[in-house]
Amino acid sequence: MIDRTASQSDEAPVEAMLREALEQGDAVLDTIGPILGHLLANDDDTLFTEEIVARVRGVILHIAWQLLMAQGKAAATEDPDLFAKNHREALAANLASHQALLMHCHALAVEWHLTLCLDQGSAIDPVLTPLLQALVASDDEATAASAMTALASQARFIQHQRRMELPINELPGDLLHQALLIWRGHVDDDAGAAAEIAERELRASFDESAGRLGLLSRIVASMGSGAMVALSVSHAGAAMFITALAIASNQDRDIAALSTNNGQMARLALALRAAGVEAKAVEEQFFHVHPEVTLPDVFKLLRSDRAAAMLAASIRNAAG
Amino acid sequence: MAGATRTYLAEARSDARDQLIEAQEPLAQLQHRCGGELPGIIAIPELLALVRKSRTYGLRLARMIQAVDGDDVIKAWVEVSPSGDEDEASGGGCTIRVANWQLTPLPLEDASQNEARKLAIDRALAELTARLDTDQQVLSVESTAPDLAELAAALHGASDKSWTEFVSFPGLGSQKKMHWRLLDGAECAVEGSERRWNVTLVPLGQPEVASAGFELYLVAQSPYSPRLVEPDVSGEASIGSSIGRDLSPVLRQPIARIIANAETIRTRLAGPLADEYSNYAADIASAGQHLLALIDDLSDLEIVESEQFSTAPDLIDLADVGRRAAGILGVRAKERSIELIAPPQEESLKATAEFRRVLQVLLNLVGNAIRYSPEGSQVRIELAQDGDRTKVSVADNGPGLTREQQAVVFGKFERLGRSGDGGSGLGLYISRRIARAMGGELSVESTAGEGARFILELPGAA
Repeated sequence: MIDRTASQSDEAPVEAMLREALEQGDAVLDTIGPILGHLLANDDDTLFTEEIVARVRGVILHIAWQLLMAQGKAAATEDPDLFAKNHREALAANLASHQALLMHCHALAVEWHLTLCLDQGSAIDPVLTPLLQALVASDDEATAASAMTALASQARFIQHQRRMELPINELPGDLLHQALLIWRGHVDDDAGAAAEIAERELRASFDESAGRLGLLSRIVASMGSGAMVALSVSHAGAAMFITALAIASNQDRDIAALSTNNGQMARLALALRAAGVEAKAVEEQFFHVHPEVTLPDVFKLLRSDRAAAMLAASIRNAAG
Repeated sequence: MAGATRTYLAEARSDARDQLIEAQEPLAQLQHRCGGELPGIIAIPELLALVRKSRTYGLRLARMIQAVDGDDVIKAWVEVSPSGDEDEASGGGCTIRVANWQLTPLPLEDASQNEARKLAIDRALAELTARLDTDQQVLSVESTAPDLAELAAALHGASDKSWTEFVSFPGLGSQKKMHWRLLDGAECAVEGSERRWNVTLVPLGQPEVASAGFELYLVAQSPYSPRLVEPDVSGEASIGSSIGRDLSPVLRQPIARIIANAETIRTRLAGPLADEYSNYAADIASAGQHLLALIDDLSDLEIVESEQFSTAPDLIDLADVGRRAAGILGVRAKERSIELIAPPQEESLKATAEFRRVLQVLLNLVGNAIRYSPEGSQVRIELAQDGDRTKVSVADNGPGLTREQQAVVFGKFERLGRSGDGGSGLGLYISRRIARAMGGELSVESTAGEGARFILELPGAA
């Protein structure tokens, strides 16, 4: 800012400020049309339904609230909850400017949407899926134990999504790190000490392997080539299906989750094929995820390695 | 959540500079196959990225990593915990735990892509390049190698002869004119150069192949090194047999794959299966484990018998090593209802030795004790200090050893008449070699019928 006003010496500072604000306003005006048109025209587009947008906002607010709660407690504030509620909007706005974090919350909302649709449309339980049932009943103690833990965490996930919440310990490590950095940049200097203590505690208590995503991917990893069974959405449920799909098709899990959306059918079909799912079985997955769509016959001719190459060539392989 | 039992295949530690300080198999093997050393900077790219993240974020991370070891794609589930800044002893590095290890063969490469890459490499490495006409006569030539200067000059002045007349092809005989397909990829010798050269001929022109002549590249099989006095290495290079060094990496892989797949079947991860088949798979897996252990023994044997064998002594706590050995073999002892008594938590005895090697010896001794003791008996790991020497002993209530047996039990391939129980007869022999290499000794005290006590003696804290 200072540089800018100094370089345009014939302008009073107030003019420069107003000019900038006006430019920003113009940019917003320019985008109203396309965005609103997009929202109105795509009434079947589940990527930006009011519900999903509200869910993303709710989750981001909840993340902000948790960070502020930790700060409030570390500073021995009288009412940390009130402190957190008073300040969460501002922090949430900063958090929402981080693409990857936003995308993660969005992907979870889309996953939640799929979970609900599967429950209503195909009677697939959001928590206790046939695959998880089989794993829990496994003779192998370690397998059974980790399946039980995953089941519990999936149940918690469902509960949290209903409340539009996301415990920060459930974030992938990179995103937690980013969120902590944003928070650190947001904290006033005089509250710095308390925030530092809170941050250290949050980092120390974090364990990615104990989070839902960690548990799911550990189970899928432990299945080895048997992980193909998790690529049946009716057998494995949305959560495990998405994890298995991400691993088998070499995509970020958030991208895999978003690929279950209506606008991403090509990606879903390619990912399934790249993961080695037979064309017939791909059709079956589509039957559950997109009941109204039939795959073109020529899809059968697509080779698995070509599908993988096409996916790999796509620019969006990682979230963010 | 934290209460869930976790079993790990392997553990490893890194330091503040992301060097792998210690690693168990199969991680150690992968580190080597990725071109790394132990200790040395982590050579597995995704693991390095994960460890760096965990260290800089100060977060416990758990991910699936992928790596390629040359033949296979490895997918492994890895948990990394930073060891905290306060803990100076661990040097601000990370603890790495591997819970899962899956091998799949590398997908075959596209032949044309492969060809294109090979050509790009040849073009980049060639020390002589020439443009030839359709009769393989030289149109232009360029060379950067001092030992090819003569050849380049000769080719330059001879525009009516084929280039093949200026070099010789040891593998192709001495025909006057050869088809380019025969020459492409051939090995040739050049007068004035001690190096051997590989020929790459690229036909040019469309639509008829080679209608516009060729590009010729000569790529050396070794880098240029002007005559140096070569050190005499004849003696060292050929020490002993090389089952361990050369063969073990080759054997390990297929066996590891057999075990992994058998485990998948045994745990019925791919679907329901009759008990009989699951049991067969368990047999296959345990036979595979046995083979793997044998290979380990054989390669250890080679290492401890080589003249360069030395250990890296450090100040270690024998009580800690004892407790770890008990921890690792606890499950096996339980299976046989044997009570394994480790040094108590508060006990500590410092010695000067290499941690990994002492652990290896103790695992061997405790493993033997568990294997040969009757069910329901005790195996004790005990410590003692004797002047400036320290002792850790493993005592059991097994059948013990007679005087004659004690005399030979440390011999190479000595099985004391046993067979078919999974031993190689190398464990104690290797253990004693290790003990002696650390300036210690491994001995046994026993009376037949009253159990045995194996004593590892080591130098105390210096």
